[in-house]
Amino acid sequence: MNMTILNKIGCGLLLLGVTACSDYLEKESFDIITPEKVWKDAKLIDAVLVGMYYYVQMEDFDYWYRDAWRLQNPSSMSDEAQGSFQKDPLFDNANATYTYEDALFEQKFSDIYKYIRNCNDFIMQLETATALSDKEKRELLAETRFLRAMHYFTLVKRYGGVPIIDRSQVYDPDHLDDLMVPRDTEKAVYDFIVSECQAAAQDLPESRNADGKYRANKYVALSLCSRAALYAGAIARYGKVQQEGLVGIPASEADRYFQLSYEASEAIIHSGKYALYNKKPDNKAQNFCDMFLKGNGDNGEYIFQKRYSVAGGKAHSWDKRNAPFSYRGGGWGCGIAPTLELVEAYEYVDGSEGTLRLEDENGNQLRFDDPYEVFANKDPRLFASIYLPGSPCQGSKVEWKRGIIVSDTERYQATSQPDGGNTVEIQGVTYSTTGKDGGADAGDASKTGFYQKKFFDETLTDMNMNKSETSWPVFRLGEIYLNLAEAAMELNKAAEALTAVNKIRERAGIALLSSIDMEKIRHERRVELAFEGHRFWDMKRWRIAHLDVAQGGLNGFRGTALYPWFDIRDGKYVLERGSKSPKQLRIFLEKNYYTKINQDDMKSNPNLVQNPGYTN
Amino acid sequence: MPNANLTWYESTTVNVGFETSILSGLISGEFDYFIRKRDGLLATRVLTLPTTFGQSLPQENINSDKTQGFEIVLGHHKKVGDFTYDVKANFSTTRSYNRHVERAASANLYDDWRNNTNDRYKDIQWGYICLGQFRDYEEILNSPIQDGNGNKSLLPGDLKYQDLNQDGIIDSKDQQPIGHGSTPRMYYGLNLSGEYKGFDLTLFFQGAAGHELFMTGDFMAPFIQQGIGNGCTIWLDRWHREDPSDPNSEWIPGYMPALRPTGYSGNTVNSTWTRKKSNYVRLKTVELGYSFPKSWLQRAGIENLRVYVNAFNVLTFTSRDGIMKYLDPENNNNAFRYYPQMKTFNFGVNLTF
Repeated sequence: MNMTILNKIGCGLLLLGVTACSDYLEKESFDIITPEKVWKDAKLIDAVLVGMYYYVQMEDFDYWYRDAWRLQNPSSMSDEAQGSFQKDPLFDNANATYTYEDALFEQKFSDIYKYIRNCNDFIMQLETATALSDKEKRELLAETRFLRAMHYFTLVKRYGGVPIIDRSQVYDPDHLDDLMVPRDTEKAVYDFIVSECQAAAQDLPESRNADGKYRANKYVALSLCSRAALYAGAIARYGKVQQEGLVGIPASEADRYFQLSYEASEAIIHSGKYALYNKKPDNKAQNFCDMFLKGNGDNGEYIFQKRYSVAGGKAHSWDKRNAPFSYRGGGWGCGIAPTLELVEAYEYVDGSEGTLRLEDENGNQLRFDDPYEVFANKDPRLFASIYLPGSPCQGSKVEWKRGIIVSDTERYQATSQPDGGNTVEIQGVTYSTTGKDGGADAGDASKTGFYQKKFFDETLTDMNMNKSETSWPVFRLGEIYLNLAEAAMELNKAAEALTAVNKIRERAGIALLSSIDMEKIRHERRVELAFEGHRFWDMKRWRIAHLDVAQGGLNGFRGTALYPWFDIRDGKYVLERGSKSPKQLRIFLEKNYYTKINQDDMKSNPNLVQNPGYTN
Repeated sequence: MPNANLTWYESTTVNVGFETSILSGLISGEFDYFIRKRDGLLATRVLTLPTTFGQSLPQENINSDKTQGFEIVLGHHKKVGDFTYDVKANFSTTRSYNRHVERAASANLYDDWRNNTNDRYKDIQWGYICLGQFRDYEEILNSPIQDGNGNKSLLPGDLKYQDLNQDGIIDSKDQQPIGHGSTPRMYYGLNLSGEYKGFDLTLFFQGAAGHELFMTGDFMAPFIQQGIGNGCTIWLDRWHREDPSDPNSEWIPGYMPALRPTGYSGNTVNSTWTRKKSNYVRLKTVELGYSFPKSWLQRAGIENLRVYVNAFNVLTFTSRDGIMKYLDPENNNNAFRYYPQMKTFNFGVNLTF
């Protein structure tokens, strides 16, 4: 009897216990942060937004088309530089040609629209977030709109008009056709970017405290506006409209865009928040060099930069990939080699044209104790941007030698990589026919005689991958002055253009100009912004890339080298131009102004029209 | 994109059977027939969203399949004088079918026949029908092109495939269903045990049938590891010239095709030649034991003492076709990288106090 009662009580208790834990099966996840959590917590919202910066294509140090070893980045694809590896696709006998790929620098829709959707989702959910005040919401909204505008700028630079999707599409299996949006015109996309930047500029703070110092602020948004409107204006003025406006902008719009760019640039300059870096006015070359050094990102001129940190797990490999031959660590190195064309673009300090003087008035070759002497009195920015033969580096000198001259008819040339022998014995004395950093047309070392100095970190000791921390400037005041000059010139405000260019030249340490024209402005842009990823896009938007190399285009461009020869008779160097560097001759067709839309994107949306000149 | 409706799949099973045992175990039997249908298996819908949508479709519960089979067990138990014995045999077979498989619409009838797996058996293997081995160069040059290069890379002894669509080229369009895959369709076993005056003997046979292995791995490369590894002895029986250094000497036929150090990919495709039946019956366990009579043990205070000797995997009966001579049919690895089952011999004592 007792047992039965006990049993009953026992069962009863058990039942009670079971019903009390009805949510026993509901578990909280500890490794996923759900949307409900995010939108209630200001810190989490911030974290999500900051994470979205990572996906914006800033075309920084790691931006290579396809693989890094192909050395195709905006510098090497313009007339600034060539790639140096013996295995890169452009390295061939100098008799072959390289045609710019249909898909060069492509950014597939499937990649970018993912991030645009993230921005759109974020904007939508921000409306309903309870954890933030209205002012905070407006600021975050503005920041997201800026990021979204950056994504669209990435797309429009490459493809022209693309579908503008500013609200996340909803998946409805019965109305799939609604999702197949056609491309908007190029003008519509630029208008969108400009209006988004202007709206963002209204609500973004003018500057931030230490926590958010590197996030977008008002002037960052205006910088994008300045650049995007300038690009649109140039395309309107110099391009032509095709595919009913999908690519190209009507010429009547040019002035409007230049005005927008002009106003944005003015606003940034007159805010007084940024200044051209001029900490060492008596050593202009060192000054210009310092601005780009690791650890000097807070130089007051950078408006928006991408920062790196080895400790933080995000570093780049620029130094490993581009060290001059004898300064490499564990292979690689020698990536980007500047061309003689760029070296000669730098003027002399007195403002005279920059062609190197290799011969005297009678046509005799000038003789130098060191090839470095030929660059005397050149624009200080040359010494800061490029390693010349004889440039100091890490306590020693960069040495590039083509070979030795024994007599008027006998000379010996370097034939392999600097660590591969290259010696010749003349009358019992052994001479090296190569410089320690290059000389031959073989191997990995530079074939032009030059190496890129801008952004190279001479203090770096660990030459493994992902150890470089130099910041990448996305927007800097120097560019804004040049944008202003170009826009002003296009609007016939020559005086203002002249002032802006002279500001740049004054900081650079070179003679000021007394008159200005479009060529001079473009020229200044070329030398000031070298290796910062501008030249390629500039040549495209001015529509000069398809011109023949003699007219300043890329068609038939190879990249000239400078060959220092050591004459053993008098121990002096003579310099010669090398027009047959072992790179293929380039062919740039008009269709290459716009990238081909990827097959996958075209197939997934039958309403898309391919860019002109490409078959599907 | 999330799928808010994502859920478990549902499985419906119908099992019909009966068990019987008559005449005190003289004859016993069981029979089971079952069908299991599963619905809501995960798959991604085949629609392509435009890439401008920014997300891809989630998994949904849209696929389904069916498995059915039956099992029979028959038993017999009898005591004849001092001898008791048991016999139990079982046999089971199962087959799986796809019901709905999400896929894009077939482009044409051929695509439908070849690739549409809806409402089909799951274990269909496709391959070429091998008509034999090339006897000489005449035959090679007069046969449909197999190597994409005018048959110039073929040697006598290489496998000749049937040109199903008669277009003069052997390619994937000539594949036909030729096999069942490596999972057996039938399992069977036999349990024999007997006891006589303290001796007991147990025999357990087990086997599987209805499956095939395709010999496409290491055995088809005479020297494994891309030509630098060890060679397999089966390659000693191959097509070769009588005098290897004389390009005009006779070709001597053999079992394996002609030798190339890293093998020839044209011979390793799924075909009726590389398809080997792996039906087998294996004597898994045989145990002979003797239990000492209780009367002897009682004096020593022991309740039970039994000595026994047993062996595992002693005998295997399998198809002796070519390569199967050397291999363990219980392996299901196409490259035959499977350590064979070991024969084990034990003896022991069971002692109960």
